[in-house]
Amino acid sequence: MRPEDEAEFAGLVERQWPFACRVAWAVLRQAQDAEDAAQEAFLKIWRAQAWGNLGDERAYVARVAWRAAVDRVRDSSLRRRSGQAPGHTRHRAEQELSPEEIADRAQSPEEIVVAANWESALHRLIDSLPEELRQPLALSAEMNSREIAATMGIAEGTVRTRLMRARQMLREKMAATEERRYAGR
Amino acid sequence: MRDDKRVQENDELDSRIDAALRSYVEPPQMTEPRIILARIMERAQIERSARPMRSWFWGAAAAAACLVAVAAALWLLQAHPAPKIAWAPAAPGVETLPSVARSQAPAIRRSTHARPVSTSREVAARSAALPKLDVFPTPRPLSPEEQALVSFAKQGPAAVQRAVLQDQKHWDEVTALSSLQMPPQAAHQQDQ
Repeated sequence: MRPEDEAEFAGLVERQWPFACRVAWAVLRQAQDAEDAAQEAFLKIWRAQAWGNLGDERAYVARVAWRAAVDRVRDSSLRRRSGQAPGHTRHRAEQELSPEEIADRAQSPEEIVVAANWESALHRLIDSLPEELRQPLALSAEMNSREIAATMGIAEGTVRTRLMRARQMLREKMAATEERRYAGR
Repeated sequence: MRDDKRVQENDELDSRIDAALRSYVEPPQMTEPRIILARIMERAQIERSARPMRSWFWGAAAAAACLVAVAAALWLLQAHPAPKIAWAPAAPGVETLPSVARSQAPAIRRSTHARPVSTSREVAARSAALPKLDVFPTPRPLSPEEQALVSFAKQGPAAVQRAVLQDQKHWDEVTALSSLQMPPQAAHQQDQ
């Protein structure tokens, strides 16, 4: 490989590393896993030597990073199902909670909201969303609907619908929390 | 008025959600890009150096497998040789082609299709064309007992040889039952 190519790849890593990390983190919610997935994504790009003629490098990096993160979720789920002990803490995406546990989980952030810790409470509420709604919502902080659709490989309309449903659910939960807070006073 | 209030509330909730989302996607820690780049380069280097070795390994494995297959085939051929067909002389009266003529004769093309079933007429014609044996059944060599009898007859005294020859003349004669004299059975029983 030519030194110019290596310099070009280094530039790509420099520019897109934080973004790739955020995409992987949005899926995995585990710092070390997210970094590993992002690193794996750049290694794939290196192997494919595809950085020379990328149309939209941000969209490309997002797609590869998201795929690496989702593969990691699937691998860890398979490992867990086959009875192997996971080597790291479970991240949110692979948890299979019973309805009671989900109710507890939803209750717990509400209590935190009552304590006026809005931000972390909202994070927990986002975490409690179904995965198909949570992922596009998390990615919406970084990308628009079209980019999310291209990254996740789904229709743009589907992305919009899911974003709308996710926001609606969050609003309802927050409103319920507010009411509870005022009722408690 | 109430709708306006609701819209305002929703806007407020949305702005809170947006703010929360911005911090939600921010990982708590992030390694510096140059360190990551060094790691990626290191892994790429390892993969690059491992690739020729891997291809060499698979090449060697394929060659070894071929050798094993050839050795097995040779061993099988030696262990189970094809049965040799014994050379049988042609029957008298059947002319064999000289080897030169045989080599010049047009090769018989074997069909890959199933052979046609021969009719009984064809079989009969084919068997009629075959040479017939002079003696039936085929003469077979004497057994050791028969050879011993022949040698005894040849070496025995002249009187014995004559007696055997004399006796042989009567072997084919029909035995006349009427001339047989049998003693009465009743007298025999009384004696007992």
